[in-house]
Formats: sequence, structure tokens, C-alpha cells
Amino acid sequence: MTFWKILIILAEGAGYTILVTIAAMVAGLAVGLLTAVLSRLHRKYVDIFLDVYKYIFRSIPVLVILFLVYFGLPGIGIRVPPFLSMVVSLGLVSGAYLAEIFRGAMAAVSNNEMMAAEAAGLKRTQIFSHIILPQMFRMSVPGMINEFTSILKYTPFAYTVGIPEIMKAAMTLAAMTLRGLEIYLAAGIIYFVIYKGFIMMFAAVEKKFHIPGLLVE
Amino acid sequence: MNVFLNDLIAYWPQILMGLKNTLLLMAVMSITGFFGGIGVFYLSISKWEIVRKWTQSYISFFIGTPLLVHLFLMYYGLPRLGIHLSAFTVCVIGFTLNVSAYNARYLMTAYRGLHKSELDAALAQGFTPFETFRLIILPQVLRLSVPSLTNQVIQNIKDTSVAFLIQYPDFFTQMQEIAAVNFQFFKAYMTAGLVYMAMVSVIVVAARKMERQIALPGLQT
Repeated sequence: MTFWKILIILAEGAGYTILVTIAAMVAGLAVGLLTAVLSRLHRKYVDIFLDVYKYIFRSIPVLVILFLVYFGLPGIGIRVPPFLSMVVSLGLVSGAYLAEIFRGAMAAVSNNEMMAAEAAGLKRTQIFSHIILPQMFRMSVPGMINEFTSILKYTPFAYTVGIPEIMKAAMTLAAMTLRGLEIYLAAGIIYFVIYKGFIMMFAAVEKKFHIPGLLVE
Repeated sequence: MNVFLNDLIAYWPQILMGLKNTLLLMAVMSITGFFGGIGVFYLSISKWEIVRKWTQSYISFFIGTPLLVHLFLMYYGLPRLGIHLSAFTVCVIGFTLNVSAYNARYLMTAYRGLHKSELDAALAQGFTPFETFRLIILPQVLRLSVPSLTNQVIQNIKDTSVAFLIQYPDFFTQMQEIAAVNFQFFKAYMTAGLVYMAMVSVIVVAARKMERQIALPGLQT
């Protein structure tokens, strides 16, 4: 079997890897945005809840959370299918990190602008969607790219719950042919290509929304 | 719960050994990754363009590919070349390569914030390039990167859980085994999660303390 053949076989699993990555990104973004909205309420209990959520999901390993969701929850009567377990676990973890990134970006939005918006008669929801959100997103781009890279790098865990992605395909193939070296090397190359693809996509998005002359650290 | 507690007590020596292995791996890779990161950072600001390019490729490859692939490659792939490494060795090498790439990137970010005129001044004073690196660049860059570097240590302790997938008997492996015996998966993983949270909390507290200690009064970063 040639190296090329190995690459093609493994690439069939890439579909699932990309699917899991995108689904988890969407879930993470949804959770991160929700925390951004909730933090604008400035309610004490909501803030405490958000802090606890961020602390828990940023300090427990993804693998432990995934196992808790997939193997643990059935013990208390909740059965979660493999794909959903993966998306929920990764979504909650990356949501916690994105919450922190969004919080920093929101803090950088000038207060004067918000006061001006209020004086101009904009409602709170309008201020959030027209003043805060667009700036917050722009400033969060580098952090978001890092977070999405992490998601991609965690997707191999999906094989532990039986999702037939790249790693699962590689393990099956390695068990049959005993050529682990080439196979895992090929897997690495495929992951790297996907990573580069995502980075290029983000770079294009970033360029589209980039404000000329505005430097974001 | 009582049955589960009894099991925890019965398996206590095993759990303790797992914790020891987890902490050992975390400590080793944090140290090797720290020095590895400095080494990679040194190469990435080399005056040779080819060295800079290769270093950038190295960083980009290890940041762009999953750690699990590197571990599997060494653990299941290398024996074909007649190289048999223990799970611990594979973890240390794999993690060091990864953590070094990340640490080097943090140092690079801090380096970009330095005043280049300072480096010119050092060269004009007769410092050799290596002395400039050791005495001017490194102390400032390290100080600026403390938050990122300590975050990486937190990431390290969480990432040790991956080692269980190549049969390294870490803490998570032990909890896994207990769960496999009494079928209390939910409680076992909850306990594991709480223990990881506790370990992370200790590091967070220590990191904050260190940040306060090395902060330069009045220096805004």
C-alpha cells in the first residue's frame, strides 16, 4: 500500500473531523455569545453563575468532560449520542474560553461611544447589537482563531466515543496493516492541511472585516 | 455513594500512584517545555533566514496538529523502526515538542513589544548577539510572558489526561479502572473532574502569587 493510498483512506474520515469541528465551533460561539449577552445584564447572580461556569469548564480536561457526558450521564438516565456528546463537550469548553475572550474585547469598547449611543436614543438591545457586538467580534478575531484551532486539535478524542473520523480510520488501518508509522504521519499531514484551510478561511474573513488603520493588539 | 466511597478508599493506593504519575508528567513537561520554548524562541529570532523559516514551520506544525497524533505516531509507529519507547518517554517527548512550540510563540509575541532601539544600543555597547539575547531580551520577554507561560502550565496538567490513551497509568486511567469495576461511571468522572479542578486551582493561586512577586512597580504592560 502506497503512502498516497493511505492518505486517501484517511481523508474519508476528514469529513467527520470537519463536521465535528464546525458543529463545535457553532456551539462554542453560541455559548460564548450568550455569556456576552448575560454579562451585559450586570446582575450579581448572573455574574457569579458565569464565573463558576467559566472556572469549571476551563479547569477540567476536555477528555474528562467528554467521558462524563458520554459514559457518565447514562448512569443518571440521560443518554447522549456520540456526535452530540462531542459537540456539547467541546462547545461548553470553547464557550468558556470564548466568554473570556469576548469579555476582554467588550471591555475595550469605549464607554463614551455607549453613552453617545444612549444619548442618541438607542435602546439597550440596539446598543448591544449595533455598537458593542461588531467591535467585540473584530477585536476577538485572533483569540477566536486560537480557540477554533484548539477545537480542531481536540476532535481526535471523537474516536473514543466511536465517531469514524480521521483518528478512528487511522487506528483501524494501523491494526490491519501494522504500518503505524506511515499511517499516523499521514493523519498528521491531513490534520495540518485542515488546520491551514481553516486558518486561510479565517484570514479571509478577518481581511473582509478589517478596519483600515485600526491596530488591535 | 457509600459504596463508591468504599471503592475510592479500597483503590486509594492506585489513585495515589496515578496522581503521582500525573503530577510527575506535568512537572517534567512544564520544565522541559519551558527550556525548549526558550531554545525555539532563540532560533526563531536567528539572523539566518533559513533557520527562522524552519523554526516557524516547526511551531506551525505542532500548533496545527493534534497532540494525540504525535503520541500515537511515536507509541504505535516507531516500533516498526525497531524503536520501542515507554509511554512515559513518548509523553515527555511529545508534550515537550508541543509545549515548546506554544511557549516560543508566547515569547515571540512579547518580543515584538520590545524596543528595538534597546537592542541596537546593546550591540553598540559591544554586547555580543548571544549576550544581548541572554541579558537584554530574555529577562524582559520572560517577565512579559509570565501570564501566558503559567496558563500553559495549567493547560499542561489538563493535557496529561490524554496520556491515558497510550496506556500511561496516570490519574485518569486509575479513575477509569475504578469505574470499570463498579460501573459508577458518572461518579468516577465527576470525582476526576473535581480533582483536576483542585489541581488547577493550586496552580492558579501559585501563578497569581508569582505574578505579584515579579511585577515591576509602576510598569504597565
